[in-house]
Amino acid sequence: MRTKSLWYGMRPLLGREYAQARLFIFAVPIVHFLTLGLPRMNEWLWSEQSAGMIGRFQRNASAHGDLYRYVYDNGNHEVAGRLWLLLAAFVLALVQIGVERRNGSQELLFSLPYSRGRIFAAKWLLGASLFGGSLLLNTLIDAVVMAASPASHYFRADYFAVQFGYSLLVVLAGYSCALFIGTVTGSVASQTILTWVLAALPIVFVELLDASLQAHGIYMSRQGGYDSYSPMLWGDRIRIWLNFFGYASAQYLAITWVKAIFLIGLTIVSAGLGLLAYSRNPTENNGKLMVFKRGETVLRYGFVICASMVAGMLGTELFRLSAGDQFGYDIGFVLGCALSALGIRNLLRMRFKY
Amino acid sequence: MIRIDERSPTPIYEQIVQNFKALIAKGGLAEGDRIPSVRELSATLLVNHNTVAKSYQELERQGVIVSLRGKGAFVTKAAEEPGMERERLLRLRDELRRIAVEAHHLGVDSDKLLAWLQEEIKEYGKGRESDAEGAPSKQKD
Amino acid sequence: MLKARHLSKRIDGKPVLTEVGFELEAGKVAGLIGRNGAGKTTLLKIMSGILDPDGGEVLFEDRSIHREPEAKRELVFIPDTPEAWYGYTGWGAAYMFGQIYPRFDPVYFKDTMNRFGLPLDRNIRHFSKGMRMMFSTALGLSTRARLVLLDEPTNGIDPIAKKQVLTLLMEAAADGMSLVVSSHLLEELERMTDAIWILRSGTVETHASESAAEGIVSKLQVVFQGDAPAAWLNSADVRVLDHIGRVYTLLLNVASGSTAAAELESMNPLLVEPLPVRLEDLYVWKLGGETYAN
Repeated sequence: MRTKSLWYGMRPLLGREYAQARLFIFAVPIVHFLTLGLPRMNEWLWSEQSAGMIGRFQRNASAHGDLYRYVYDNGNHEVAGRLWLLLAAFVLALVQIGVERRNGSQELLFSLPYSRGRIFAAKWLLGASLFGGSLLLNTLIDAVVMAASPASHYFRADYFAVQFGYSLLVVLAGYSCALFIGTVTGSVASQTILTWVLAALPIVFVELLDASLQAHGIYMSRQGGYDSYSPMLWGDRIRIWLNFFGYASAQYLAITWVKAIFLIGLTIVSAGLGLLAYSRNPTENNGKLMVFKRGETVLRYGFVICASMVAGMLGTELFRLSAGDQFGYDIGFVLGCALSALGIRNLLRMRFKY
Repeated sequence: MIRIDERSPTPIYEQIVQNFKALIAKGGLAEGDRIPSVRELSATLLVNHNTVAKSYQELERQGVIVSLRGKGAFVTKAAEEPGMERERLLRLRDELRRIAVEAHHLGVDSDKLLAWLQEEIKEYGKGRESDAEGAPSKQKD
Repeated sequence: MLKARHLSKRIDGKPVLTEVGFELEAGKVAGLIGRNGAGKTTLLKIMSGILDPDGGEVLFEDRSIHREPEAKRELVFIPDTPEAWYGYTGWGAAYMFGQIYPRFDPVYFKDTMNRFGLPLDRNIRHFSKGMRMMFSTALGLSTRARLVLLDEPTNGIDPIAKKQVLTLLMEAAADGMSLVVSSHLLEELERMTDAIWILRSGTVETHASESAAEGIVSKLQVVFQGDAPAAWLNSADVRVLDHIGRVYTLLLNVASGSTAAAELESMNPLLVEPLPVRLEDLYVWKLGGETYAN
C-alpha cells in the first residue's frame, strides 16, 4: 500500500521530467550505442581484419591481461561510452535544474502538493534510470555481439558485469555532482561554467598550489616526468585521488574496489547535498550567479584564491630575473587578489537572463 | 434585466432587491416565473455570490420570491401597485428638479416659477394625478 | 481555512513583506490589491509554497503548507502566465493535474475549454495571451480545489476574455471555492469579493468589501463660502480629487481622532454633499501618496 502511494506520488513528477527531456531520453541510448556497440560490431562482425585478429588473440590471449587487451580492447569502448554519458548527464542536469529556473517550471513544481525533496528525488530517479537503462541495454548488446563474434570462446560474463557496474557508478557520481551544482547556481550560464570549472578544479587547484609552494621552496610532488624513479610524494597522491576523469577513463584492469567505493561515496554525498540545497532553494534568487549567500561566499573566496595564485605565477615569470621566485610571486599574488576581489563583487550582483 | 449602478450610493444587495421588484412591477417577471440561481446571477453580474444570496434572502423575507429546495426560486405574486407607483414618483421628482435647474439658467426667479406651477396645479391638480405625468409640463416649457 | 501569521520576506536585502497576517474563511473571495511592485506576487508565491518566508507561517486548514506540502492538494496557484505548460497541450496538462489533484474534473475542464473556444490538442505555447490566461484559469479551477490563488488573471486580455474569466471565477466561488485574486480591476473586485486585502508598505490591511471605507474615509462634494481654505485642503486629513469652478470633490479622513470633518463644519460651506465611496477612492486614499515601490 505504501509503495503504491509512493509511486502515485512520484508518477506525475516523473511524467513531467520525462516530458521535459523527451527527445534527449531517446538520444542517449542511441549515442551510447554509437560509441560502444557499433565499434564492437565493426571490429568483430564486419571488419575484414577480424580473421587476422583471430590469429592475434589466439597467439596472445592466453595471458590474463592480454585477453582483455586483444579481445576487449582494454575496455576503451566502455570508456568512450562513459564519457558520452557524462556529457549527457551534464546536459540533463542543466535541463532539469538550470533551465527550469527560467521557464516557470520550477514555480509550477514548487506549488504542487509535493515536498521539494520528492521533486528532486524524481529528477534523480529519472536520470538514474535513463543512464542505468542505457548502460544495461548497451552492455547487453555488447555482450551479444561478443558472444556471436569469432572471439566467442573468450566471452567473459564477469567482464560485462564489472563494466556495467563501474560505468554506472561513474555516470551516477558525475550526474549527482552536476545536479548538485545546478541546485546551488542560479542560471543556465553559471551552472554550465561552474560544472566544468568544478570538474577540472581539483586538478587545476593542486597544480596551482604546487606552483605556489614551489615558488616558496616547498615541494609537494616529485620533480621530473613520469619516467622518473623518484618516489611519489603526497601531492602526487592527491592528484590521483582528485582526478575525476581518471576514474571515468579507467581501463578495465584499472577498475578497483577502492575506486568504486570512492564513486559510491561521491554519489551519496553529492546527491544528499543536492537534495538539501534543492529543498531550501531560495526561488527569489533565480537568475543570480549563486542562489545561496553561502555559495556566493565560497565562490568569492575560491575565485580570489585561484586568481591570486595564477597572478602569483605570472609574477614569478615576470620578476624572475631581478630577485628570487618568492618576491615576484608575492607581488603578483597581492595584485591578483585585489583585482579579482573587485571583479567578483560586481559579477555576483548581476542577474542573468540565461 | 438586472443592472448594477456603480455610482449609486445604494448597496449592491439592495440594488438587486429593487431591480427584481421593478422587473416584477413592469411585468418582466410574472408569478411563478423562475428567477436565476445565485450561481447564474452572480456569474452574469460579476457580483459576489454571498451578496446575491443576501438579496434573495431579503426578497424571500419580503415575500416577493419563494425558493423551493432543489428547484430554484420563483416569483410569488404579481406586482403590487406601490412598486410601480414609487418608480413613477421618482421620475416625476427628477423632472421637477430638471425644470428648476433650467429655470435658474433662464433667469426665472423662484416666485415666478412657483406661480407657474400654481397655475398648472389649478388646472390639473389633485384628483387627476393619473395623467399628470410630465407631458403637460413639457408642453408649457 | 487559510491563515497567515507574521509573514516576513526580504529579497535582495530589501524588506518586501513585514509582519503580514490575514485570514480567509471557506467559501469567501478575497481581492489582493496594491501598487505595482508592492509584493502581491511575492505574497501569493509564499502562500503557494514557491517562496519560503523568512519568518512566519501560512496555514491551510491548520497545516503549514511549507512544512507539509501535501496540505496543498486542495490549494492551487494560477500564475500570471502559463509558461510552465509550453510544450503541453490542454489534454496533456489535464492528464498531469488529474494525477496530482484528487478532485480534478476532466469534464469541467473540457466543457470550459470548449466554452472559451480553446482547442484541447494544441500546444499552449501557440496560444495568444488571452487564450493562455483562459487556459490557466480553466486548468486551475478544474482541480476543484478548495482554495485557488490567482495572480492578475485578467492582465493584458481583451474585454470579452476578461468577462469570461471573471464569470468563471464567480461560478467557482458560488460552487463553494475560496478565491484569492490579485488584480488592479478595482471596480470588479469591489463587487466580486467578500474581503479586500490592501498590501501597503509590506503589510496587509483587511477590509470588508461591502463597507471597505467605512470609518476610514468619506467622499464629499463641497462648495466653500468665499475662497477655498488652502491650509485645510492641504492638510494630511484631506485629499482633493478634483475641483471644477468652486465645486471641490475631496476625500476626508473620518477615522476617530481626525478633526477634519469638524473643521469643515465650522467653515459653514455653502454645499456639502456626500458621495458614495468606491474602492478606488480608498485605494487612492491609502496608496495615492506613496511613490512607486522599487
